[in-house]
Amino acid sequence: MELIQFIHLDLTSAILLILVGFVGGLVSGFIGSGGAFVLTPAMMSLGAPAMVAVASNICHKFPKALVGAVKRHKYGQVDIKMGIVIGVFAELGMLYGKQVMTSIKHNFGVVGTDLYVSVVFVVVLGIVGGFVLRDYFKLKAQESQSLEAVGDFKLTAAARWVQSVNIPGTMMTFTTTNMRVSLLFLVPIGFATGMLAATIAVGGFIGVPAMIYLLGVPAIMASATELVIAFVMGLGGTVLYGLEGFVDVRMAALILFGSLFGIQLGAIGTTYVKDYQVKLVMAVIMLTVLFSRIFYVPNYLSQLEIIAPLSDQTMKTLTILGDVVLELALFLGAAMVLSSLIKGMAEHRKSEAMSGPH
Amino acid sequence: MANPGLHKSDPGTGKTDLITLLAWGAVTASCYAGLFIYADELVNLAQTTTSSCRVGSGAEAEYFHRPTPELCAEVGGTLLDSSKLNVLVPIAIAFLISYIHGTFTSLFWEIIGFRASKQK
Repeated sequence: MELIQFIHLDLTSAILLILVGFVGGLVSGFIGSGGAFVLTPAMMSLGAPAMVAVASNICHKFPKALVGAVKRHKYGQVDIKMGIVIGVFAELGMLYGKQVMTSIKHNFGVVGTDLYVSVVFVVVLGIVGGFVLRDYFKLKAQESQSLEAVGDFKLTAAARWVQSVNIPGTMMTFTTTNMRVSLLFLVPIGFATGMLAATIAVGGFIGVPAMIYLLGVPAIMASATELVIAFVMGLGGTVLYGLEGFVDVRMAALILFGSLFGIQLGAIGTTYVKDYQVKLVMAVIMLTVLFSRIFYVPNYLSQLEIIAPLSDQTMKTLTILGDVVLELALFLGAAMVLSSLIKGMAEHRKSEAMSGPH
Repeated sequence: MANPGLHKSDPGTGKTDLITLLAWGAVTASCYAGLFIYADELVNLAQTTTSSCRVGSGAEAEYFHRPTPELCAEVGGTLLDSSKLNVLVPIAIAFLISYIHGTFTSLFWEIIGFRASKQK
Protein backbone atom coordinates (compact mmCIF):
# COMPACT_ATOMS: atom_id res chain seq x y z
CA MET A 1 0.00 0.00 0.00
CA GLU A 2 1.47 3.36 -1.06
CA LEU A 3 0.45 6.88 -0.02
CA ILE A 4 -0.10 9.13 -3.06
CA GLN A 5 -0.72 12.56 -1.64
CA PHE A 6 -1.90 15.43 -3.83
CA ILE A 7 -0.60 18.72 -2.43
CA HIS A 8 -2.63 21.29 -0.55
CA LEU A 9 -2.86 24.30 -2.86
CA ASP A 10 -2.67 27.76 -1.31
CA LEU A 11 -2.62 31.18 -3.00
CA THR A 12 1.20 31.40 -3.15
CA SER A 13 1.63 28.00 -4.79
CA ALA A 14 -1.24 28.76 -7.20
CA ILE A 15 0.39 32.05 -8.28
CA LEU A 16 3.76 30.32 -8.67
CA LEU A 17 2.25 27.61 -10.89
CA ILE A 18 0.42 30.21 -13.01
CA LEU A 19 3.62 32.25 -13.51
CA VAL A 20 5.83 29.30 -14.38
CA GLY A 21 3.04 28.09 -16.67
CA PHE A 22 2.98 31.44 -18.47
CA VAL A 23 6.74 31.50 -19.06
CA GLY A 24 6.74 27.83 -20.15
CA GLY A 25 3.82 28.47 -22.50
CA LEU A 26 5.54 31.48 -24.04
CA VAL A 27 8.60 29.39 -24.92
CA SER A 28 6.54 26.41 -26.13
CA GLY A 29 4.43 28.64 -28.37
CA PHE A 30 7.60 29.86 -30.05
CA ILE A 31 9.86 26.82 -30.30
CA GLY A 32 7.25 24.05 -30.00
CA SER A 33 8.40 22.77 -26.62
CA GLY A 34 10.73 23.67 -23.83
CA GLY A 35 8.65 24.81 -20.86
CA ALA A 36 8.16 21.41 -19.31
CA PHE A 37 11.59 20.82 -17.82
CA VAL A 38 11.08 23.48 -15.16
CA LEU A 39 7.48 22.57 -14.29
CA THR A 40 8.11 19.11 -12.87
CA PRO A 41 10.80 20.35 -10.42
CA ALA A 42 8.59 23.35 -9.58
CA MET A 43 5.69 21.09 -8.61
CA MET A 44 7.99 18.78 -6.66
CA SER A 45 9.38 21.74 -4.73
CA LEU A 46 5.79 22.55 -3.70
CA GLY A 47 5.58 19.05 -2.21
CA ALA A 48 4.04 16.97 -5.02
CA PRO A 49 5.36 13.39 -5.28
CA ALA A 50 7.53 12.91 -8.41
CA MET A 51 4.97 10.76 -10.26
CA VAL A 52 2.14 13.22 -9.55
CA ALA A 53 4.33 16.12 -10.78
CA VAL A 54 5.25 14.27 -13.99
CA ALA A 55 1.63 13.19 -14.60
CA SER A 56 0.15 16.64 -13.96
CA ASN A 57 2.79 18.21 -16.19
CA ILE A 58 1.80 15.86 -19.01
CA CYS A 59 -1.90 16.58 -18.40
CA HIS A 60 -1.35 20.34 -18.83
CA LYS A 61 0.84 19.74 -21.89
CA PHE A 62 -1.72 18.31 -24.30
CA PRO A 63 -4.40 21.04 -24.04
CA LYS A 64 -1.64 23.67 -24.17
CA ALA A 65 -0.15 22.05 -27.27
CA LEU A 66 -3.64 21.79 -28.80
CA VAL A 67 -4.30 25.52 -28.36
CA GLY A 68 -0.83 26.38 -29.71
CA ALA A 69 -1.24 24.04 -32.68
CA VAL A 70 -4.66 25.48 -33.56
CA LYS A 71 -3.25 29.02 -33.40
CA ARG A 72 -0.23 28.22 -35.54
CA HIS A 73 -2.34 26.19 -37.96
CA LYS A 74 -4.18 29.44 -38.68
CA TYR A 75 -0.83 30.91 -39.76
CA GLY A 76 -0.28 27.94 -42.12
CA GLN A 77 2.68 26.64 -40.10
CA VAL A 78 1.45 23.19 -39.00
CA ASP A 79 1.71 19.89 -40.88
CA ILE A 80 -1.00 17.99 -39.00
CA LYS A 81 -0.42 14.68 -40.78
CA MET A 82 3.32 14.72 -40.09
CA GLY A 83 2.68 15.69 -36.45
CA ILE A 84 0.24 12.82 -35.92
CA VAL A 85 2.47 10.21 -37.61
CA ILE A 86 5.58 11.23 -35.65
CA GLY A 87 3.42 11.64 -32.52
CA VAL A 88 2.21 8.03 -32.65
CA PHE A 89 5.81 6.72 -32.76
CA ALA A 90 6.78 9.25 -30.10
CA GLU A 91 4.13 7.67 -27.89
CA LEU A 92 5.86 4.29 -28.31
CA GLY A 93 9.23 5.92 -27.62
CA MET A 94 7.81 7.46 -24.46
CA LEU A 95 6.61 4.06 -23.23
CA TYR A 96 10.01 2.53 -23.94
CA GLY A 97 11.82 5.50 -22.33
CA LYS A 98 9.66 5.12 -19.22
CA GLN A 99 10.60 1.43 -19.06
CA VAL A 100 14.31 2.24 -19.39
CA MET A 101 14.04 4.73 -16.52
CA THR A 102 12.19 2.19 -14.34
CA SER A 103 14.79 -0.47 -15.11
CA ILE A 104 17.71 1.86 -14.24
CA LYS A 105 15.95 2.89 -11.03
CA HIS A 106 15.43 -0.79 -10.17
CA ASN A 107 19.11 -1.66 -10.74
CA PHE A 108 20.96 1.49 -9.63
CA GLY A 109 18.44 3.45 -7.53
CA VAL A 110 17.33 7.06 -7.90
CA VAL A 111 20.94 8.29 -8.22
CA GLY A 112 21.38 5.99 -11.21
CA THR A 113 18.39 7.53 -13.02
CA ASP A 114 19.59 11.04 -12.11
CA LEU A 115 22.99 10.30 -13.60
CA TYR A 116 21.40 8.74 -16.71
CA VAL A 117 19.21 11.84 -17.17
CA SER A 118 22.30 14.07 -16.84
CA VAL A 119 24.27 12.06 -19.40
CA VAL A 120 21.34 12.30 -21.85
CA PHE A 121 21.12 16.05 -21.17
CA VAL A 122 24.83 16.54 -21.86
CA VAL A 123 25.02 14.35 -24.98
CA VAL A 124 21.77 15.40 -26.67
CA LEU A 125 21.74 19.07 -25.72
CA GLY A 126 25.48 19.45 -26.29
CA ILE A 127 25.46 17.96 -29.78
CA VAL A 128 22.08 19.20 -31.00
CA GLY A 129 22.21 22.59 -29.24
CA GLY A 130 25.74 23.23 -30.53
CA PHE A 131 24.71 22.29 -34.06
CA VAL A 132 21.62 24.54 -33.98
CA LEU A 133 23.67 27.48 -32.66
CA ARG A 134 26.35 26.99 -35.34
CA ASP A 135 23.63 26.91 -37.98
CA TYR A 136 22.16 30.15 -36.62
CA PHE A 137 25.52 31.97 -36.83
CA LYS A 138 26.07 30.64 -40.36
CA LEU A 139 22.67 31.86 -41.57
CA LYS A 140 23.05 35.21 -39.83
CA ALA A 141 26.46 35.74 -41.44
CA GLN A 142 25.06 34.82 -44.88
CA GLU A 143 22.22 37.28 -44.43
CA SER A 144 24.46 40.17 -43.43
CA GLN A 145 26.82 39.44 -46.35
CA SER A 146 24.17 39.37 -49.02
CA LEU A 147 21.86 41.91 -47.33
CA GLU A 148 18.87 39.73 -48.07
CA ALA A 149 16.83 37.22 -46.15
CA VAL A 150 18.67 34.12 -47.30
CA GLY A 151 18.53 32.69 -43.80
CA ASP A 152 14.96 31.69 -44.21
CA PHE A 153 15.54 28.22 -45.48
CA LYS A 154 18.09 25.91 -47.04
CA LEU A 155 18.07 22.11 -47.17
CA THR A 156 20.90 20.24 -45.47
CA ALA A 157 22.69 17.46 -47.37
CA ALA A 158 21.00 14.92 -45.04
CA ALA A 159 17.56 16.36 -45.80
CA ARG A 160 18.23 16.33 -49.55
CA TRP A 161 19.19 12.65 -49.29
CA VAL A 162 16.17 11.77 -47.11
CA GLN A 163 13.84 13.49 -49.59
CA SER A 164 15.46 11.68 -52.52
CA VAL A 165 15.06 8.18 -51.05
CA ASN A 166 12.13 6.26 -52.49
CA ILE A 167 11.18 3.05 -50.69
CA PRO A 168 8.01 1.70 -52.34
CA GLY A 169 5.16 1.01 -49.95
CA THR A 170 6.52 3.33 -47.25
CA MET A 171 6.27 6.72 -48.94
CA MET A 172 4.05 9.39 -47.37
CA THR A 173 3.06 12.74 -48.85
CA PHE A 174 2.82 15.79 -46.61
CA THR A 175 1.00 18.64 -48.26
CA THR A 176 1.66 21.51 -45.84
CA THR A 177 5.42 20.98 -45.79
CA ASN A 178 5.21 19.95 -49.43
CA MET A 179 7.35 16.84 -49.22
CA ARG A 180 7.28 13.10 -49.79
CA VAL A 181 9.27 11.07 -47.27
CA SER A 182 9.52 7.42 -46.33
CA LEU A 183 7.77 6.45 -43.10
CA LEU A 184 10.98 4.62 -42.19
CA PHE A 185 12.62 8.01 -41.48
CA LEU A 186 9.73 9.23 -39.36
CA VAL A 187 9.71 6.17 -37.09
CA PRO A 188 13.15 6.75 -35.46
CA ILE A 189 12.52 10.51 -35.20
CA GLY A 190 9.25 9.89 -33.36
CA PHE A 191 10.73 7.16 -31.20
CA ALA A 192 13.73 9.31 -30.17
CA THR A 193 11.44 12.29 -29.48
CA GLY A 194 9.28 10.15 -27.17
CA MET A 195 12.28 8.61 -25.41
CA LEU A 196 13.72 12.05 -24.74
CA ALA A 197 10.33 13.27 -23.49
CA ALA A 198 10.22 10.36 -21.02
CA THR A 199 13.77 11.15 -19.87
CA ILE A 200 14.04 14.94 -19.67
CA ALA A 201 10.39 15.96 -20.27
CA VAL A 202 11.17 17.87 -23.49
CA GLY A 203 11.05 15.66 -26.57
CA GLY A 204 11.09 18.70 -28.84
CA PHE A 205 14.83 19.13 -28.29
CA ILE A 206 15.21 16.14 -30.65
CA GLY A 207 11.94 16.35 -32.59
CA VAL A 208 12.31 19.92 -33.86
CA PRO A 209 15.99 19.77 -34.95
CA ALA A 210 15.37 16.35 -36.53
CA MET A 211 12.51 17.72 -38.60
CA ILE A 212 14.65 20.70 -39.65
CA TYR A 213 17.97 19.01 -40.44
CA LEU A 214 16.94 15.45 -41.37
CA LEU A 215 13.57 15.95 -43.07
CA GLY A 216 14.06 19.48 -44.41
CA VAL A 217 11.14 21.19 -42.67
CA PRO A 218 11.63 24.97 -42.11
CA ALA A 219 12.27 25.81 -38.42
CA ILE A 220 9.03 27.75 -37.96
CA MET A 221 6.98 24.87 -39.40
CA ALA A 222 8.97 22.28 -37.44
CA SER A 223 8.36 24.09 -34.14
CA ALA A 224 4.64 24.37 -35.00
CA THR A 225 4.35 20.69 -36.01
CA GLU A 226 6.09 19.73 -32.75
CA LEU A 227 2.97 21.04 -30.96
CA VAL A 228 0.90 18.32 -32.67
CA ILE A 229 3.45 15.71 -31.58
CA ALA A 230 3.30 17.09 -28.02
CA PHE A 231 -0.50 16.91 -28.13
CA VAL A 232 -0.50 13.24 -29.21
CA MET A 233 2.16 12.32 -26.63
CA GLY A 234 0.51 14.36 -23.88
CA LEU A 235 -2.92 12.83 -24.45
CA GLY A 236 -1.54 9.28 -24.40
CA GLY A 237 0.61 10.07 -21.36
CA THR A 238 -2.35 11.54 -19.48
CA VAL A 239 -4.37 8.36 -20.05
CA LEU A 240 -1.46 6.16 -18.88
CA TYR A 241 -0.65 8.19 -15.75
CA GLY A 242 -4.35 8.88 -15.11
CA LEU A 243 -5.11 5.16 -14.98
CA GLU A 244 -2.53 4.86 -12.21
CA GLY A 245 -4.25 7.67 -10.28
CA PHE A 246 -1.44 10.23 -10.54
CA VAL A 247 -3.05 13.13 -12.45
CA ASP A 248 -3.84 16.14 -10.24
CA VAL A 249 -6.17 18.10 -12.50
CA ARG A 250 -6.15 21.11 -10.12
CA MET A 251 -2.41 21.60 -10.59
CA ALA A 252 -2.67 20.96 -14.33
CA ALA A 253 -5.46 23.55 -14.60
CA LEU A 254 -3.45 26.21 -12.73
CA ILE A 255 -0.42 25.73 -14.97
CA LEU A 256 -2.75 25.77 -17.95
CA PHE A 257 -4.19 29.09 -16.78
CA GLY A 258 -0.81 30.75 -17.25
CA SER A 259 0.43 28.69 -20.16
CA LEU A 260 -2.56 29.39 -22.42
CA PHE A 261 -1.78 33.10 -22.16
CA GLY A 262 1.88 32.34 -22.86
CA ILE A 263 1.42 29.95 -25.77
CA GLN A 264 -0.80 32.36 -27.69
CA LEU A 265 1.75 35.13 -27.32
CA GLY A 266 4.64 32.82 -28.31
CA ALA A 267 2.69 31.69 -31.39
CA ILE A 268 2.02 35.31 -32.39
CA GLY A 269 5.76 35.95 -31.96
CA THR A 270 6.61 33.42 -34.69
CA THR A 271 4.81 35.55 -37.28
CA TYR A 272 7.23 38.45 -36.70
CA VAL A 273 10.55 36.60 -36.83
CA LYS A 274 12.78 34.96 -39.40
CA ASP A 275 13.26 31.20 -39.39
CA TYR A 276 16.74 31.38 -37.87
CA GLN A 277 15.56 33.40 -34.85
CA VAL A 278 13.58 30.34 -33.72
CA LYS A 279 16.85 28.41 -33.94
CA LEU A 280 18.65 30.97 -31.80
CA VAL A 281 16.08 30.79 -28.99
CA MET A 282 16.16 27.00 -29.13
CA ALA A 283 19.96 26.83 -29.06
CA VAL A 284 20.26 29.30 -26.16
CA ILE A 285 17.74 27.37 -24.05
CA MET A 286 19.32 24.00 -24.86
CA LEU A 287 22.85 25.14 -24.05
CA THR A 288 21.83 26.92 -20.83
CA VAL A 289 19.97 23.78 -19.68
CA LEU A 290 23.08 21.79 -20.55
CA PHE A 291 25.17 24.17 -18.43
CA SER A 292 22.85 23.57 -15.44
CA ARG A 293 23.87 19.87 -15.46
CA ILE A 294 27.45 20.75 -14.55
CA PHE A 295 26.23 21.57 -11.05
CA TYR A 296 24.24 18.34 -10.56
CA VAL A 297 26.71 15.73 -11.83
CA PRO A 298 29.30 15.96 -8.96
CA ASN A 299 26.49 15.11 -6.48
CA TYR A 300 25.51 11.97 -8.38
CA LEU A 301 29.12 10.88 -8.84
CA SER A 302 29.74 11.42 -5.13
CA GLN A 303 26.65 9.42 -4.15
CA LEU A 304 27.70 6.58 -6.47
CA GLU A 305 31.18 6.75 -4.83
CA ILE A 306 32.87 7.41 -8.18
CA ILE A 307 34.50 10.53 -6.71
CA ALA A 308 35.41 11.45 -3.11
CA PRO A 309 32.30 12.20 -0.98
CA LEU A 310 31.12 15.80 -0.97
CA SER A 311 29.84 17.51 2.18
CA ASP A 312 26.08 17.98 2.55
CA GLN A 313 26.52 21.74 2.34
CA THR A 314 28.46 21.50 -0.96
CA MET A 315 25.83 19.17 -2.43
CA LYS A 316 23.03 21.52 -1.37
CA THR A 317 24.79 24.57 -2.84
CA LEU A 318 25.48 22.77 -6.14
CA THR A 319 21.83 21.66 -6.39
CA ILE A 320 20.59 25.21 -5.78
CA LEU A 321 23.01 26.56 -8.42
CA GLY A 322 21.81 23.93 -10.91
CA ASP A 323 18.14 24.78 -10.23
CA VAL A 324 18.84 28.50 -10.66
CA VAL A 325 20.58 27.96 -14.02
CA LEU A 326 17.70 25.69 -15.15
CA GLU A 327 15.16 28.39 -14.32
CA LEU A 328 17.41 30.97 -15.97
CA ALA A 329 17.29 28.95 -19.22
CA LEU A 330 13.53 29.22 -19.34
CA PHE A 331 13.40 32.90 -18.39
CA LEU A 332 16.17 33.73 -20.86
CA GLY A 333 14.19 31.98 -23.61
CA ALA A 334 11.01 33.81 -22.61
CA ALA A 335 12.82 37.17 -22.62
CA MET A 336 14.16 36.46 -26.12
CA VAL A 337 10.67 35.54 -27.37
CA LEU A 338 9.15 38.73 -25.90
CA SER A 339 11.95 40.87 -27.27
CA SER A 340 11.58 39.34 -30.77
CA LEU A 341 7.84 39.91 -30.63
CA ILE A 342 8.04 43.53 -29.46
CA LYS A 343 10.83 44.36 -31.92
CA GLY A 344 9.00 42.63 -34.77
CA MET A 345 5.76 44.48 -34.03
CA ALA A 346 7.57 47.83 -33.85
CA GLU A 347 9.25 47.20 -37.23
CA HIS A 348 5.93 46.10 -38.68
CA ARG A 349 4.22 49.31 -37.48
CA LYS A 350 7.10 51.37 -38.85
CA SER A 351 6.89 49.78 -42.29
CA GLU A 352 3.11 50.21 -42.26
CA ALA A 353 3.49 53.89 -41.37
CA MET A 354 6.11 54.37 -44.11
CA SER A 355 3.89 52.79 -46.74
CA GLY A 356 1.28 55.39 -45.72
CA PRO A 357 -2.50 55.19 -45.36
CA HIS A 358 -4.42 53.31 -48.06
CA MET B 1 -12.86 44.91 -46.41
CA ALA B 2 -10.60 44.94 -43.37
CA ASN B 3 -7.21 43.36 -43.70
CA PRO B 4 -7.14 40.50 -41.18
CA GLY B 5 -4.22 40.02 -38.87
CA LEU B 6 -2.95 43.57 -38.79
CA HIS B 7 -2.83 45.84 -35.80
CA LYS B 8 -5.70 48.19 -36.22
CA SER B 9 -9.09 47.04 -35.01
CA ASP B 10 -12.01 47.54 -37.31
CA PRO B 11 -13.65 50.87 -36.53
CA GLY B 12 -16.74 50.49 -34.44
CA THR B 13 -16.10 46.91 -33.39
CA GLY B 14 -14.02 47.73 -30.29
CA LYS B 15 -16.98 47.73 -27.91
CA THR B 16 -18.36 44.46 -29.31
CA ASP B 17 -14.91 42.88 -29.00
CA LEU B 18 -14.69 43.96 -25.38
CA ILE B 19 -18.13 42.53 -24.58
CA THR B 20 -17.17 39.24 -26.26
CA LEU B 21 -13.91 39.17 -24.28
CA LEU B 22 -15.72 39.83 -21.00
CA ALA B 23 -18.29 37.13 -21.79
CA TRP B 24 -15.56 34.54 -22.47
CA GLY B 25 -13.72 35.80 -19.36
CA ALA B 26 -16.82 35.18 -17.26
CA VAL B 27 -17.24 31.66 -18.67
CA THR B 28 -13.53 30.96 -18.03
CA ALA B 29 -13.77 32.27 -14.47
CA SER B 30 -16.86 30.13 -13.80
CA CYS B 31 -15.01 27.13 -15.17
CA TYR B 32 -12.05 27.63 -12.80
CA ALA B 33 -14.37 28.44 -9.89
CA GLY B 34 -16.24 25.16 -10.49
CA LEU B 35 -12.96 23.30 -10.64
CA PHE B 36 -11.92 24.53 -7.21
CA ILE B 37 -15.38 24.29 -5.62
CA TYR B 38 -15.47 20.62 -6.59
CA ALA B 39 -11.73 20.06 -6.05
CA ASP B 40 -12.19 17.37 -3.38
CA GLU B 41 -14.56 15.38 -5.59
CA LEU B 42 -12.13 15.70 -8.54
CA VAL B 43 -9.22 14.49 -6.40
CA ASN B 44 -11.40 11.57 -5.28
CA LEU B 45 -12.19 10.68 -8.92
CA ALA B 46 -8.53 10.96 -9.94
CA GLN B 47 -7.41 8.74 -7.08
CA THR B 48 -10.02 6.06 -7.81
CA THR B 49 -8.96 5.12 -11.33
CA THR B 50 -7.04 2.45 -9.45
CA SER B 51 -7.87 0.62 -6.20
CA SER B 52 -7.43 2.98 -3.27
CA CYS B 53 -8.08 3.50 0.40
CA ARG B 54 -9.11 6.91 1.75
CA VAL B 55 -8.26 8.11 5.22
CA GLY B 56 -10.11 11.22 6.41
CA SER B 57 -12.31 13.41 4.25
CA GLY B 58 -12.44 16.68 2.33
CA ALA B 59 -9.22 18.59 1.71
CA GLU B 60 -7.47 16.64 4.48
CA ALA B 61 -8.13 13.21 2.89
CA GLU B 62 -5.17 10.92 2.27
CA TYR B 63 -5.23 8.26 -0.43
CA PHE B 64 -3.32 4.98 -0.44
CA HIS B 65 -3.00 3.05 -3.70
CA ARG B 66 -3.12 -0.74 -4.06
CA PRO B 67 -4.45 -1.36 -0.55
CA THR B 68 -5.48 -4.64 1.04
CA PRO B 69 -8.62 -4.60 3.24
CA GLU B 70 -6.45 -5.39 6.30
CA LEU B 71 -3.93 -2.59 5.72
CA CYS B 72 -6.70 -0.12 4.92
CA ALA B 73 -8.53 -1.03 8.13
CA GLU B 74 -5.25 -0.71 10.05
CA VAL B 75 -4.88 2.97 9.05
CA GLY B 76 -8.57 3.60 9.75
CA GLY B 77 -9.45 4.14 6.09
CA THR B 78 -12.29 3.20 3.76
CA LEU B 79 -11.80 1.09 0.64
CA LEU B 80 -13.14 2.96 -2.38
CA ASP B 81 -14.83 1.66 -5.51
CA SER B 82 -12.59 2.24 -8.49
CA SER B 83 -13.40 2.85 -12.15
CA LYS B 84 -10.96 3.20 -15.01
CA LEU B 85 -13.46 5.46 -16.74
CA ASN B 86 -12.64 8.19 -14.19
CA VAL B 87 -9.52 8.88 -16.27
CA LEU B 88 -11.81 10.61 -18.75
CA VAL B 89 -12.63 13.32 -16.19
CA PRO B 90 -9.27 15.21 -16.22
CA ILE B 91 -9.08 14.73 -20.00
CA ALA B 92 -12.56 16.20 -20.51
CA ILE B 93 -11.72 19.10 -18.16
CA ALA B 94 -8.45 19.76 -20.01
CA PHE B 95 -10.26 19.84 -23.38
CA LEU B 96 -12.96 22.12 -21.97
CA ILE B 97 -10.42 24.54 -20.49
CA SER B 98 -8.36 24.54 -23.66
CA TYR B 99 -11.42 25.57 -25.65
CA ILE B 100 -12.92 28.14 -23.27
CA HIS B 101 -9.75 29.62 -21.79
CA GLY B 102 -7.97 29.29 -25.16
CA THR B 103 -10.65 31.41 -26.83
CA PHE B 104 -10.47 33.95 -24.01
CA THR B 105 -6.67 34.30 -24.11
CA SER B 106 -6.71 34.62 -27.91
CA LEU B 107 -9.25 37.47 -27.72
CA PHE B 108 -7.35 39.02 -24.81
CA TRP B 109 -4.07 39.40 -26.73
CA GLU B 110 -5.90 40.55 -29.83
CA ILE B 111 -7.74 43.30 -27.96
CA ILE B 112 -4.64 44.63 -26.25
CA GLY B 113 -2.90 44.79 -29.62
CA PHE B 114 -0.81 41.63 -29.95
CA ARG B 115 -1.80 40.28 -33.35
CA ALA B 116 -0.07 38.09 -35.87
CA SER B 117 1.58 39.81 -38.82
CA LYS B 118 1.37 37.11 -41.47
CA GLN B 119 -1.90 35.28 -40.97
CA LYS B 120 -2.82 33.11 -43.92
